[in-house]
Amino acid sequence: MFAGSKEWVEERLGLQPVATRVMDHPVPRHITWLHCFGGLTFFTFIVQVVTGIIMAFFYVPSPDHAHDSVDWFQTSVPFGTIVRNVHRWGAYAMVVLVFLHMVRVFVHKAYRKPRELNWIVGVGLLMLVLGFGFTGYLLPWDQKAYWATSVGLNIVETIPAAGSTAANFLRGGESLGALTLLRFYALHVFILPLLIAAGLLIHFAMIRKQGIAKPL
Amino acid sequence: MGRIFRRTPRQLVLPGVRVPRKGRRERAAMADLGPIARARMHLVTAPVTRRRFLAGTLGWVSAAIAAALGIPAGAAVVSPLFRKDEEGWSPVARLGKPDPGDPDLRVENEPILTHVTSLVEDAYLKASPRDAAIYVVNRGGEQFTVFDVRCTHLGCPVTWKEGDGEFFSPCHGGVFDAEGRVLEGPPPRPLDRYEYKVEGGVLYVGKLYQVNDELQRVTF
Repeated sequence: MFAGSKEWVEERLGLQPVATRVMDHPVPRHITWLHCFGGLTFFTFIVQVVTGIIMAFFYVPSPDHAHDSVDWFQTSVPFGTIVRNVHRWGAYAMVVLVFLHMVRVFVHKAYRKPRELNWIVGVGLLMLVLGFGFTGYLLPWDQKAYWATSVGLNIVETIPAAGSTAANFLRGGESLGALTLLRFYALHVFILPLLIAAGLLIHFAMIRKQGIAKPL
Repeated sequence: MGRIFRRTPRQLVLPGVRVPRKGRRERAAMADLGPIARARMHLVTAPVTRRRFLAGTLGWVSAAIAAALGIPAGAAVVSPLFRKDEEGWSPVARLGKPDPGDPDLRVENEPILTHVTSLVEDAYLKASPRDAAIYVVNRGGEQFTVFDVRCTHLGCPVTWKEGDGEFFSPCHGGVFDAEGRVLEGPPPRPLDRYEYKVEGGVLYVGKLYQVNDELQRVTF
């Protein structure tokens, strides 16, 4: 039924040269498995996006319902346990892989001129990944989540001068409660994903432009 | 650059897009063949190079990963389609002298508008209040008819017109008789009814069901 539909699109849009340029990209000979950590981090990011969207269908960011909705998703929704645990282990994996990626770039001295800007963007991306971890940890709204966030925000308070303002902004006031949960939720599912998507685009565009660093 | 990229990249062919490099006569010959013969011909004319093999492997592995991620995700989102709400029995009122605020069920053969509130388990809500408006008709001898107040056309609440002895839906002019049969208008079936039981002198309603034009129960 759809035979020839690709040719139909191709005839009209001529995407073949674009696909060739994007997919048939020659890779230098000195590439090793160590060069895969960046791509693997991106892969875990995709996994997090997919499983996160699925959980958004079931999660309620309210102190009354957050824990019950997570509990119900895990116990009563088919594959709920799998989806939630893939998201959890994916988060751990992402932090580990992004760290290994950073170590690889450091050891290979791939951050040197002309790639300093990409290192700086990469540090920003690392902060965003840790931000995802911190905000996502509160969302199940159990004892561990509550006290981990409480401690985390106390750490923010130790920033000189701006500390208490920053902590109160994140907390949505002076005490940890409903607004904190909503803020962390908004950061976790709306703001951080937009920022990280923009950062990844810049990160990848710069690699394409500058190529992979020569071997040591 | 020159040291690393020795060869200029060859043309990559998108899966399914055949770049026309064969002659017109050959293509015309291929067009007559069936899909399997055509695929076989393609394999013969374009042998499996290492490049093609790796591209195919990459494609299949990607598809497997997508399935491993997509099937649980899709199933979780689709699963509420098969959800059943737990329905229990909800008290309407006492049969004798009513408590304050309750309907007087001693009135016979006259639809009385009232409502029942039940606590149902709704997904992550352990006890979610559900309110349903009903018309209760006492047929005498502990026999009742409990109508759902919603018109069977699009769900507007019907009202009992005492003078005409009819239920009337204001939205599209659906009219039902005292037994819930359709008299006029677009409704496709008689008014839906509730199961009921009398226990300890109290009327309870249970599951909602549909009836056909002969007022026989059709859904369970």
